[in-house]
Amino acid sequence: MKKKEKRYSLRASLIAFFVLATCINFLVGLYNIFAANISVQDISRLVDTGRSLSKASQNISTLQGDMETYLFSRSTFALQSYYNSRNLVQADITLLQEKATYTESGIRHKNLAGLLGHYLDTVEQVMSDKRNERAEEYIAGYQLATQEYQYIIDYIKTTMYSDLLQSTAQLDTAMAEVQTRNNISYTLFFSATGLVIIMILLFSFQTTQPIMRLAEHAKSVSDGNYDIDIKTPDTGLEVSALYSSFDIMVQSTKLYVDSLREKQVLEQELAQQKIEGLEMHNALQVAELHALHAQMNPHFIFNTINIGAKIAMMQGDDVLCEYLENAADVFRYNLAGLDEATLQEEISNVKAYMNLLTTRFGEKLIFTCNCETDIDMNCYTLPRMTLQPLVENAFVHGVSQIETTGIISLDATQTDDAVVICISNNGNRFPAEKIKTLSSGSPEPKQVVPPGHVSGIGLFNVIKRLRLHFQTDRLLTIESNDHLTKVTLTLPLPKKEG
Amino acid sequence: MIKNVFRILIVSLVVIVLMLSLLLFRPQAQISSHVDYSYHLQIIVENTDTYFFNQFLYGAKEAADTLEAYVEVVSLEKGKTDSLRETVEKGIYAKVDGIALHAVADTNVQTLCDLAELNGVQLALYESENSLTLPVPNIATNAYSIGTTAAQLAIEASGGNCKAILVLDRVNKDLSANRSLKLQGILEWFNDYPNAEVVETYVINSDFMATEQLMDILFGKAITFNTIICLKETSTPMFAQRILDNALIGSVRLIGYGALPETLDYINRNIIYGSVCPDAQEIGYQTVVALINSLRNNRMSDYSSANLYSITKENVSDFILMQQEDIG
Repeated sequence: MKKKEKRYSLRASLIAFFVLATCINFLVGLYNIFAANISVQDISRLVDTGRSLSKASQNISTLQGDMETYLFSRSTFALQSYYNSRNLVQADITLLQEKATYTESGIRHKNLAGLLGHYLDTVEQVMSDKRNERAEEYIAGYQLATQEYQYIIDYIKTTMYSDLLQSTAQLDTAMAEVQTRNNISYTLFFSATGLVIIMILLFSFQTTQPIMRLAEHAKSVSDGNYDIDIKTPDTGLEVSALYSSFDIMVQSTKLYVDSLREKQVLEQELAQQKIEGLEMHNALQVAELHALHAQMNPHFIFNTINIGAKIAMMQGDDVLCEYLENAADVFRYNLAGLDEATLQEEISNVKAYMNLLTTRFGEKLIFTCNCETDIDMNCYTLPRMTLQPLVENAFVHGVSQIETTGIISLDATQTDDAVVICISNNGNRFPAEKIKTLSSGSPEPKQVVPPGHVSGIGLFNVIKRLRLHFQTDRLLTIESNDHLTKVTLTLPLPKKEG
Repeated sequence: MIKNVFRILIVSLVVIVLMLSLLLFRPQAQISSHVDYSYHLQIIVENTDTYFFNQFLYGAKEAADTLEAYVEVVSLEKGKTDSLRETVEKGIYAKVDGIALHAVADTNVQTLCDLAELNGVQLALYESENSLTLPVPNIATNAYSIGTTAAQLAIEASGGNCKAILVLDRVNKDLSANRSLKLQGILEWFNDYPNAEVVETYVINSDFMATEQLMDILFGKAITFNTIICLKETSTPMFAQRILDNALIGSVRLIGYGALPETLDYINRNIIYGSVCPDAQEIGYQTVVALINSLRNNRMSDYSSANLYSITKENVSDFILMQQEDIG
């Protein structure tokens, strides 16, 4: 099982990084300081021996002089000076004994310490003999002391010369070591500085990169793009928490926005449906209203027309009887409402209507109706009062305006997916502006029902009801020139239930 | 990546700490392996880089290492007696434990012995046959034995018909007992061989010019000798080279002294027949032992004789090998 990697907080990482970098720089500085001190110590050590020997030589020379002065003068001042010098030489002996080692150079310090010690004893004896006025003893002692003093001076010179030779040889080595140490110090300094700078850059990049990436994600989200791939980086705890929270926030926001969109779409569809419903209702109300305007006392009208038909039939006037029966059929159909009717019913109504007109106008109006036999008239439905207004319109605005015989034709054919009903007339040209208005689907303009219309239902109403019934546009096309106007209804066939 | 950054920083920190540690805790140079020695001995030698003294010092230091003593070598300029006396006095006043010296005839060794005794310093002599009567240890090779050994080699080289030129070292102006004993040893050995004789004896100074002058004398006139017995270490190779230069190999046999590398080489090349060599290493060793025994109040006999070697073609390779090992 893979061990879960421990993560540290950003603060801890920053503190650790800066502490480490500071420690590195501090230690490098410390190294340089110590290297410099050691170099100075090494060089100083080379001359230190000579310095101490030189000092010892001076002190012993002073002591010799003080002894001689006392021997010659016996002054207290000389005696005091002698003791001072003696103390200095004693200190030199102590220093030499400390430096004495069993090495080629160290043993000389031991010997010199011994010589100085013996000399001090000899001189002390001389001083004592002088104070006690033992002339022969102190004279002999003085000669011995002088000889020893000379030995010491010679020995110091020899030792200094040997030390100088040794120091010279060691100086080259020491200088080489100093140079090496300097080179190491410089290298260490510049390497450490360069390393820390590089590490600072790397660390900064690594630390800020996730944050900058998160900022880019935030910008994407603010621009509306919720489909972003947020990968939590392997970094500090705070940044990981930030990424996790941001991811959750984006997901939640995305869900919320999607739900809002869906809701909006649903509301739009609902509104649209409401509007269509209202429009249908409105169209129906308008149609009904128009129908109501034309509706008087249906019973009275029917009774009147029927009585008239009977009277005509009793009097043997078949034409009048047929005319009144057609009128009754037309009135009855108009009053039946605006729901659905079969194609057969519609065409029958048109035929009854046109019978009235042809009876009225005789040879000045001709109506033809051609329907394909394979159309199932009784099974195909469409809104009631669809065809009559079109035929009515063809008479009122078309053939009634011309001097010659007017011809109105109704042809019904079936294609693979539609029933095509074409109502044509040879009357006046259909105004092009009106054709354009009807085709554009613009709202029905307020209009007064022109005289001569039975139904009072305009083309706009017919088109609207057709659109609402079949749920599609482009059902009606109008072609018109000076001699022929065609109104073509292309009614889609219902889809077969599979 | 951040982890790698930290790893690099930590490694760098460790490296710097190590470097700092190496800098601060560097080994101190020139500290003797012995913090404290039991005795401090001075050995006064002539200021010469001869093989004898090199071997002598080698033996002395070997004994010092064994007996935990520190040996300080003090070099003198050869032949200056004042320098020897002063050096010994310096050592005495410096309160060393013991001093070993090679006493020349002019040296007032008795005075030095008295001074040393007064100051509690032990003296010892080496190769100082002139001072055998002094109550201090004396380690030396037997001069008489040197003479007999040299004569023996001369007889072997010449087949008994030995007409020898004897060359001795003049340490001081007067004929010393040391030289006399050497000559005596040679003569007594020659007594057993009727055809063996010492044609002439020369005593020359220590400098090489004296040897050159002698060689000019010897080889500049009619050769009346067939053997040269040279009992002077530094002159032996010089005689060998002159024999070689004068194409006298086989005509003149050379018996030398000492075991200088040049001498051994000439022996190996049959230019020198043989060489009498004191065991310098043993002399040095015994000198230090004698000093320390004296300091411990374990008095040995005042005189100790060191061994002598005869180096010839048969065993010269062993000596060459020993020399090479010593150098290595």
